[in-house]
Amino acid sequence: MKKQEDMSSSPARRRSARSIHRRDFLRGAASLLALVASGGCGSDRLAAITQRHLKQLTRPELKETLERLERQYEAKYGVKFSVHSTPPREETLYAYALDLSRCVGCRRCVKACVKENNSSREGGQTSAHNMPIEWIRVLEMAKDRGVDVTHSTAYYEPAKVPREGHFYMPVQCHQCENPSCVKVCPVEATWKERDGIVVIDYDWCIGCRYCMVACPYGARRFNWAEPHLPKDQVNPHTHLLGNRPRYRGIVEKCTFCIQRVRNGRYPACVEICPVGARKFGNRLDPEGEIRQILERKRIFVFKEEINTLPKFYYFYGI
Amino acid sequence: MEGFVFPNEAHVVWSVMIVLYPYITGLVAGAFVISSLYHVFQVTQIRPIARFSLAAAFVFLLFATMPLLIHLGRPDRALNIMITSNLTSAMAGFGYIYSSYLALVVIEIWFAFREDFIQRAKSSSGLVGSICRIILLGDLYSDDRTREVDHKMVRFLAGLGIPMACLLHGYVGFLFGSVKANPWWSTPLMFVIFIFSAIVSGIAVLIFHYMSIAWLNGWKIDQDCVRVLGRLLWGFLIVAVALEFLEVLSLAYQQTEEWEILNHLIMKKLFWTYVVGQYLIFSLVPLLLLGVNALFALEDRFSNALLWVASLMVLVQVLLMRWNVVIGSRGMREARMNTVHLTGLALLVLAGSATGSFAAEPAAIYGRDPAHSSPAPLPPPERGLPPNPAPNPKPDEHYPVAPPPLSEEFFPCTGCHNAKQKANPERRKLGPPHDAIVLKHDEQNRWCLDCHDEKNRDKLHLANGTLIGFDESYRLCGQCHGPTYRDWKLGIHGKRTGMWNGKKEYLLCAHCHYPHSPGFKPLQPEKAPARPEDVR
Repeated sequence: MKKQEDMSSSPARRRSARSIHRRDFLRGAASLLALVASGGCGSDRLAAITQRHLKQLTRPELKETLERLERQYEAKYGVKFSVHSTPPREETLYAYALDLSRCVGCRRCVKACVKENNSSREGGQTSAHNMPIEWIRVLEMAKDRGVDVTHSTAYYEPAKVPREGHFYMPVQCHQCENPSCVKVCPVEATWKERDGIVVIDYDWCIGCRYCMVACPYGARRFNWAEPHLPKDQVNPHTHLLGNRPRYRGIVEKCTFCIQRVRNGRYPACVEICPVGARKFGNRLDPEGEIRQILERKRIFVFKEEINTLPKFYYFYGI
Repeated sequence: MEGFVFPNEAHVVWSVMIVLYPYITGLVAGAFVISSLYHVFQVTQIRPIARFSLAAAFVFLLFATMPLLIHLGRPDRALNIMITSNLTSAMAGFGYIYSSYLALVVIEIWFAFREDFIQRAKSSSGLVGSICRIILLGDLYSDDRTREVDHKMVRFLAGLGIPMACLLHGYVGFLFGSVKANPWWSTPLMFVIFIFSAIVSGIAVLIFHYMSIAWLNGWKIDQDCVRVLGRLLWGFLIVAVALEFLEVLSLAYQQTEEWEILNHLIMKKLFWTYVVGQYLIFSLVPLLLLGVNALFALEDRFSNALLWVASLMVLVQVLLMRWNVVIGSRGMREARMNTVHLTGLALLVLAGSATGSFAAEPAAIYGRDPAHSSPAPLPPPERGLPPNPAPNPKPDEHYPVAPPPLSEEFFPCTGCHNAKQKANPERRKLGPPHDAIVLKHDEQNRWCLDCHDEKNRDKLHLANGTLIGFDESYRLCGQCHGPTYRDWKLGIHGKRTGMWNGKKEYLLCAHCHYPHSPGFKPLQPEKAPARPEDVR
């Protein structure tokens, strides 16, 4: 199996002389082109265009990149931004559990996620494809059918939930141990970090959407247009691989709120859930909630037959 | 059922460009196979079209990755695929196969057309002559021996090219067939279907172009050649259609979960493009026409007309098949893309490519350096990070709960109830100020003082008389709800906020469950997501 590396913890990597030569050549050529194209725009803009793959950055380069991003976001959104790159913790494998017997389908998680993660809102430019981006989708299912996606709907709109005879199944990125999306990405713009979170390098993604086609959980979203993020709704506390504002033409998805969980906090969807159906923790901690659930409750993973090995478990609390 | 094809219903992420891409690649593979039939298998009747088909393969090849490039959200980053190729990605893998195939076709063309270039270089002195000289690398010598070498090389490369053409297009099939998320794509038959449909479309495009060009220029059509091509097309079309049909038939027979979705798609949303278009019109009619053409001795003009119409229809059939696979199977609610429009677009590409307008495509220009793709050594693990989670509190410790949900209006209770006051134990409808309390919590067996303490109204009491504060009410609830109490202590039941590996705040039972009527009250849901068709 291919080794997974973490961008954030990679110091200057040894490269063969040849690859340095070639990469530098490409980079040089790209820089020159960009310089011509930008006609002497700010150096930040140039740096943005010639930005390399995050995993290839040396530590000082990473620092520079973070500072530049902060400057650029600040200029764009008019608030002080922090873009950090907190690395994975040792002996941590994040996992999520969702109690299907509690979820009432209120979609509070969906909206909290949008807010926390600077997702594109409603009311942007009226491009053909432009729609608000939501990483969580809540499916309404009939109790007498069980978990049956074919007969489910995400567009239920009753006055009150839960609706008689129905239960609800939220779906978001399952942070698979064997992620199909990572496998198909032609440019390695998405990878699995050491703590199990599947992340995307927004500056490297070419927007081919192969990952979206390959994801069995429909977890990924594409920015068909420039994301619509009003200045007064920005969350300026961001992670490089997480909720920093995105651009047109690239793919994004749930990262378990990497900007929060790497700093020890619960994801936003966990904290908002009014019924406490959402559980998060370290899969490797025998005392943690996740292990307790795995130990005491009956769980299932969605589409287990396709062997993606999700770290997102559904369970029945009662 | 609204035809919800999870997860595919959300948005059609692969659109018309990804329809054209396998379509054009199929034309390449098909045209190449035909040229090889002459060069390798000595089907001499198709000699007039042998080199034309090679040139056609080359021209289509130059175009093949254009749709992919246009499809990208960030075409400016297309070169990233050269810098960090992911070896497990079918799309990146396609780049390798595509590049090597392009090299092979270029070399074969060089040998196949060498004589022509030499003559051209000798006869014209201007720019054309110079270009020919450059192409020939300055070597204008030719005699029987060099011609023999050219011949042998072409034959060798044509032979090598057949498996590569199959690989090229089989790989395009793999691009779809390897997607396990999509039940209609994820079948091993996908490769074979793609290869056969590629050959079919390749033959059809050659017949179509050959005849059209001949008619436009007033050339005489070589009847032997088109007759053989017509038969080949008929044969390959039978296999291709049969395979496509068998795939659906087996799914229909197995009646697995996927079939419910597919059945719905095929009979409703894709009825016109799939059942009517792909099968009833554009498969059956050409099969019939080609069959008549092959089995009966028709007059040349009539036979040619049949063949021309049939080949055009086959081109549409393959395009429809690609469209149904790529877009149709994504379960879009309505096939908004007008198929006539799409056909027009495709034919435009065909015409454009046939005139030989050459488009530079990055993937073909750059070679690849495998050193880039091999994983670099893992960096040393990071040390000195925050320590791992503090263990949960031991059972029966005091839990860090949020303050109990008591309103100042009522609490402290001793504001009204004093210790000397005798409580009324009668089960009754409560009057003001407690008239809002209607007990729906084992009300047959319980009344106020089973939980509230008579002597100290600011406290609750357990069954054994132990007084507890409202901030410990979980102990009271836990007396009856044992398993839930256990789950709550472990963090399985109820909400926790704060740090997943450190200080957290629990909620009391009473925060979510009103103790006098603990059933969870229905909520107003947040707005539903936008439907893709509402946005478009």
